[in-house]
Amino acid sequence: MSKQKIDLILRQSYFLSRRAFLRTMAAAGGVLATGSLITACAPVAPTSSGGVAPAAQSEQAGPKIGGTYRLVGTGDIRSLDPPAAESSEDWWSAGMVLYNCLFFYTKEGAFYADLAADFPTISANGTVYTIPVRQGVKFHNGRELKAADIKFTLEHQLWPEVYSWGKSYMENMVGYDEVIAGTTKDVVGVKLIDDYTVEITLKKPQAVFPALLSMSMNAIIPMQECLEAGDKWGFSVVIGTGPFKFVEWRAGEVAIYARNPDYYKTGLPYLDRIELSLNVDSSVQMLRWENDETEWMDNPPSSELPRLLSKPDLKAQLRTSDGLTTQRLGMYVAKPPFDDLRVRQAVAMAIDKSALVKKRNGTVTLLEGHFTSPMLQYDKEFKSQYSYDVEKAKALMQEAGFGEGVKGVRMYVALDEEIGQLLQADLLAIGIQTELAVGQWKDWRDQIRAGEIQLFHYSWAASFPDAYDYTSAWSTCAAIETGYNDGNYCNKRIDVLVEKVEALPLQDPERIAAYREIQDIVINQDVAWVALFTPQQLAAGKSYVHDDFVSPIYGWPYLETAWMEEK
Amino acid sequence: MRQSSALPTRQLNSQFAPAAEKPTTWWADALRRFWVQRMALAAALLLMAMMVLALLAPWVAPYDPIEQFRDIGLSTLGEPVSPNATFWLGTDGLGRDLTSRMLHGARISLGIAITANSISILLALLIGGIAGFAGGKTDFFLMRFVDLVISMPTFFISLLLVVILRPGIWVVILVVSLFSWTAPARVFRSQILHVKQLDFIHAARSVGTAEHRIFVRHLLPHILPMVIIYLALGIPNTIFAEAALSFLGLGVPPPAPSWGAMIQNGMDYYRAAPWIAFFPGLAIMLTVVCFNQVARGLREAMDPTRRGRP
Repeated sequence: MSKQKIDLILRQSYFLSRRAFLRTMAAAGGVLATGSLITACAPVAPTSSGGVAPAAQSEQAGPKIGGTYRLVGTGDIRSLDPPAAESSEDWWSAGMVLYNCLFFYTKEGAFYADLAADFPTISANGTVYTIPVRQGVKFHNGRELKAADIKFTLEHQLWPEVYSWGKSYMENMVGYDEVIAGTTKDVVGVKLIDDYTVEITLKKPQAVFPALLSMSMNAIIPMQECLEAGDKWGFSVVIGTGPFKFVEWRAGEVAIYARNPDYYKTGLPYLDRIELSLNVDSSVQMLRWENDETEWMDNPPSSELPRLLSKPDLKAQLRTSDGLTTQRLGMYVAKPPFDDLRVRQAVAMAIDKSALVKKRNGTVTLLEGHFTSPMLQYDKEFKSQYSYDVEKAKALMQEAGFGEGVKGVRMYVALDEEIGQLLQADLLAIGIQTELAVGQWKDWRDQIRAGEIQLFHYSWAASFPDAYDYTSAWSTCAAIETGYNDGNYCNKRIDVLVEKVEALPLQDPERIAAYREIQDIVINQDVAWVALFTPQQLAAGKSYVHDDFVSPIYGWPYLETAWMEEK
Repeated sequence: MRQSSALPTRQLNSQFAPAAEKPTTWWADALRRFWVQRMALAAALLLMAMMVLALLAPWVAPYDPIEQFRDIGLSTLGEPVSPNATFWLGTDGLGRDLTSRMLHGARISLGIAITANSISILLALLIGGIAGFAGGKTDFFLMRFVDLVISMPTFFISLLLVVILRPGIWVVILVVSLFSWTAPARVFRSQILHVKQLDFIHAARSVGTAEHRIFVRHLLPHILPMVIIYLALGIPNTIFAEAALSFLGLGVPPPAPSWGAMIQNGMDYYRAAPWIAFFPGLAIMLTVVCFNQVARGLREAMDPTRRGRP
């Protein structure tokens, strides 16, 4: 494939980085937004937070340097080492504030070369990527970025002693297996051509590989400084190239970042300082936001949304963006009763999705399939064959030999118990009595994978709008062992299709058609799970702050270009 | 011979007995003294009314407590509806009738509280009674066991047990009763230590009465008033314990209603729909106050030093 063609594909496609994050549905539970109701904060509006007149006037005056931007987070920071940063607070800090990646996305979703000087040159067989490194970029300590830092970054997160949530995403690199096994620290597939050029060799063509390099675990860290810091790296020693520099992190209390005056994007950022308060309960966040004690609140509580949406001054301050998250009800298909297709069909017909949408204050979009609208493979004509019909569902249960109902089925529902109870009521209507298992996904996953919990309400946020992410992690037979296919669903046709089309260009019609076929197999033919709805990213900002739009990937603000008026 | 000798005795007794006082049992006397305590009586009546309503919940509740009225029970934006003619106490976040959930919740909350407290008092009676009556090494070891249980961080162990055993009504009853018997056990033991030194116990023993018979027939009746008082006093604590577990999501599993769980569900709506947490909170408060008043009344009524006095 030619470089020009790849470039064209990358530039034309709105494909964001991918990150499989099953961030227990605390995030999902609150991730609420709407396009229709929240018209004042359309996701594509890049500069304004809404229709507040004074803000609009000041905005005309243009960006100003200065100001402290305060955010509140419900959780703590685990680490500021990019591979280990996986909760909202540290993931955002690593991915959008303190570091840069080789590639990233503009606020409009366009893929661009960030620390890379240009898009990669790709060999004819599609397996060798040559990436030029941007010259003159300095780390926060003043040292210049070199290609060796890129190689180190890609290797470091794979070392057995380094925790990284995203190691497996890089498994296509030649040399990955040896580093994971601990036999070497050198990824042989990553070579330094010179101080400003890196060459990466893949085992097989992978259309989405450049997008993987935009994921936060691949944010570029300084080799020498990381090795010298040892255990302090990511905790008291945090050095990146990002628009803000690390100042202080008091565990469980606050993280403070300051403007990087030597940022490679001249003139940016505008804000002087960021203060991220940690471990703040969502109801307290709401109070702080209303009292002007914070400029940003992620995911307003669903119980507060009607009030926010009904008051124009509050509504005008909401920020939203199209999301890549889907919520779905999975079934453990390797054990009765859900090994019976008719039971799975009955479940699909029992769920009243419109009730879920209403419960979410109308701020989510009902899903027919499991691709969301920004995805290349999204097909708005696609329909599930199992629309809401309790009587037909009961008949299917009867036919499957469960006319008397099924008792003792356990259903996992992260932290959004209300959604769980809605599903519970719908399932009870066709005779499936469920007991809810509520809490963090990691606490229940072993039981889910063992089939002791047979129904599970998952939320999945892909970080780039391509079906590869969803399919490879959820739907293939291989993903039973290596991914998130916790329902033990296996249809070999899907594995064959994925293998075949990943060697094709991203937008190849055959590739798109193959993924649409996979969607039909999963949703209509096999009913491996029930797609429920897709929420959008929603946050509450302030009218005196501009350009702090919500990232579709992180759900938190872009602050590189944000600026604020004097209050 | 027996008839002729009985008559003078009765005549003799009647000469010394106060002419106006009717002979009365201890129970009747206690009931009379309880009756005159207005506050305790009102609390008892209110509790009885609550219990009757709880027992009759399936018949008096307007709706099924788990039925979700997704159309009329929620606003167009999915908000709970406030109290109105259809839903007297409003609805919760899933459009369920709060009146019905309150009534059915009373069955569960009061049921758990009464059952758990009864088990706890039985345990206390058993362990405190045996320790006090047997004395010696048995007393020593049993009391050290009580000390051990008291020294445990009971609430956290309860949380751990509930997590391990999976939340459910019987698990809640088990964990609540397992850790609330220690204080009454100590009180029962000391009371038995006192009573077993009295003359009538020595008399019973001297005529050859078996030890278990002395325990059951002579000792237990003397600590019964205390047992009854502790039964009433302990229930508020068990109500709180159940509410706390439910509040933490470790109580009665959904969708079954309990007052504690209802408060927990209402927390998210404390500004948008405050009635969701208010009514179960009020119910818990009233129940606890009532049980405390009843316990106070019983203590007054059963106080042996006040026998025969108003």
